[in-house]
Amino acid sequence: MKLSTNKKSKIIEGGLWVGITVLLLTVPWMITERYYSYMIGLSGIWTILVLSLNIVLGYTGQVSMCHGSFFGIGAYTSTLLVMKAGWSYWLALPVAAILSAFVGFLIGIPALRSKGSYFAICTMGFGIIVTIILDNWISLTGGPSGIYSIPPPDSIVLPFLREIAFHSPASQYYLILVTIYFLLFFTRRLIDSRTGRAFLAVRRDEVLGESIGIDPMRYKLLAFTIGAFFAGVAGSFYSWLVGVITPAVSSLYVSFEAIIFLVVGGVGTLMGPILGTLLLTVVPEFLQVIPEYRMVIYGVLLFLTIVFMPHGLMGGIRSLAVRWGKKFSGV
Amino acid sequence: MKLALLRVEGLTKHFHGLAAVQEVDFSIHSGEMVGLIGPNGAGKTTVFNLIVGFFRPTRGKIVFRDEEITGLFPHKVARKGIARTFQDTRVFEEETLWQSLRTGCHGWLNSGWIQALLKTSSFVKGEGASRQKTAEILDFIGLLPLKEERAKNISQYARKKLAIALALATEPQVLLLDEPFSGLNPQEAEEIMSLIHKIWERRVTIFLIEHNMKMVKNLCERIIVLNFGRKIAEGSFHDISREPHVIEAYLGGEGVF
Repeated sequence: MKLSTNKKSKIIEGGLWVGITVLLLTVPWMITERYYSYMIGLSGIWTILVLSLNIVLGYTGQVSMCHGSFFGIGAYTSTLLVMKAGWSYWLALPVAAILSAFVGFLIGIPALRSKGSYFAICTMGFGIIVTIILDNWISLTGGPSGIYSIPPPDSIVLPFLREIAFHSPASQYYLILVTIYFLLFFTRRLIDSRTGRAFLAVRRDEVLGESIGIDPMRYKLLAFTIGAFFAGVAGSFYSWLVGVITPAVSSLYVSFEAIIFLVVGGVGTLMGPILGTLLLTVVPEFLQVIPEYRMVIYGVLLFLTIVFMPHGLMGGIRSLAVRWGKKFSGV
Repeated sequence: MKLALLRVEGLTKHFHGLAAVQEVDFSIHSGEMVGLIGPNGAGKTTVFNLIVGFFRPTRGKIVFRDEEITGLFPHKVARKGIARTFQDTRVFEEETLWQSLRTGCHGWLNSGWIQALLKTSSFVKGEGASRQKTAEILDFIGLLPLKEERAKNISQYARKKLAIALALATEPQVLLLDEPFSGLNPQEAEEIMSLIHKIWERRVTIFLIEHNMKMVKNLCERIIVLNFGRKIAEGSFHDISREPHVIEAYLGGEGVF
């Protein structure tokens, strides 16, 4: 039977997905040491944050420097709702994400009127304000010392099944994994639609987009709001995984790191954010890199990526695949 | 008397006190093919930019299908049924021809992102319609074999066609073409001319800016001449080419005195 190359590549892709999924599902059995499973959980949360930034920076091309703020807003909101108001985590999580999205929407309206580097500076200003508020609203946030002993999500009781508790690293891992898969699915559906094509048109040529009936402001604002929503989810997960939050969770470093991971992995690609995050969080950890050298390594990697692989790791892999594909088909 | 599809009244645009367009009036009727000519810097492209909303007029109004569209955002004007191409043949460089035209279907599709996530039947139907439209336009314009190529990799001639195809994907009633023949060899220009004629036969009203008088003469039944931002003549090619103002403008009038 002769298969078209398109079908073949689809089968290969499908096989890869199944393989990777099976591998990912077995991770809690393979890695049992608490420290490593904690690290994996943390890089999973970073992946969620970077995937959410990808919707803004990757698809609509807006360099947001306040993605960390939404991470922080999500972390603080869900923690405060659980610890001070006594809410169930499963109610606090959506409320935190929606609040984060709403703040994103409100900030987006003025900030998205500016373009390019002006937008970056506007969002940076907002990011600094959020950290200052968290630092100084001591009666609510506890100020610079932050909030301690944040409990894990309360357990879910499913009918006919046993109770799912979130104390174990394995259940926490699966919760994060499911969220990543959902975000991937979400992004894929979104990009392959009228909305996604409008996002890309805004990134590629806003003026041409307008001339064919696309409202750039509307789609930039939509992407920014959705991005803030999932950044809020990531922040909320972070709070119970680490158990401690301080105003540093909303700092500019968080925003910068998310941008670095995304650029190294590949802006505007589906798998790039995951590759970039894994490379830059897990690898230095397993290689026992001294934390002080971390930023140096990031800097060097960022530099090398921008110079040699402007489309990131995913772009590099793609062009290699094209070259090999040509070699094998004898072109 | 035919009803005006697009009407411009007293259109004026000042840039930092300098008048680029002054008190221009004209109307374009449904099913016409009208040319807009004039020496460099006469304000032709400014008139286009005013009509589609890229610039806000200093004075005057623009009426499309009995509805005033003066000062509307460009995406709103586009969705009312006015499409344009750009002088510098703007296309989405990184997109394939297929993707570009799918993007061009934006205005007449109406599914939102939640429908896309849930893959509702109206979303699936809309996607099907846009695929069909894309294939139809690519075939009509003669670019179907290049559909998987990225716009940055195709020839200048194919880019010109792509820019027109992108405008057509919005299902316009009026198509504004800004120098559709510039940068083409005579044979390619002939091809584009017959393409424009074919589009016009499909009942799309055409308004074009052009320097190539031969093309204007062959295509346009009516011609509007601009000079220094003012309308100096209007009529058939035969009439305007005998107008002393027009000859003067093209020969560089001041020198005559």
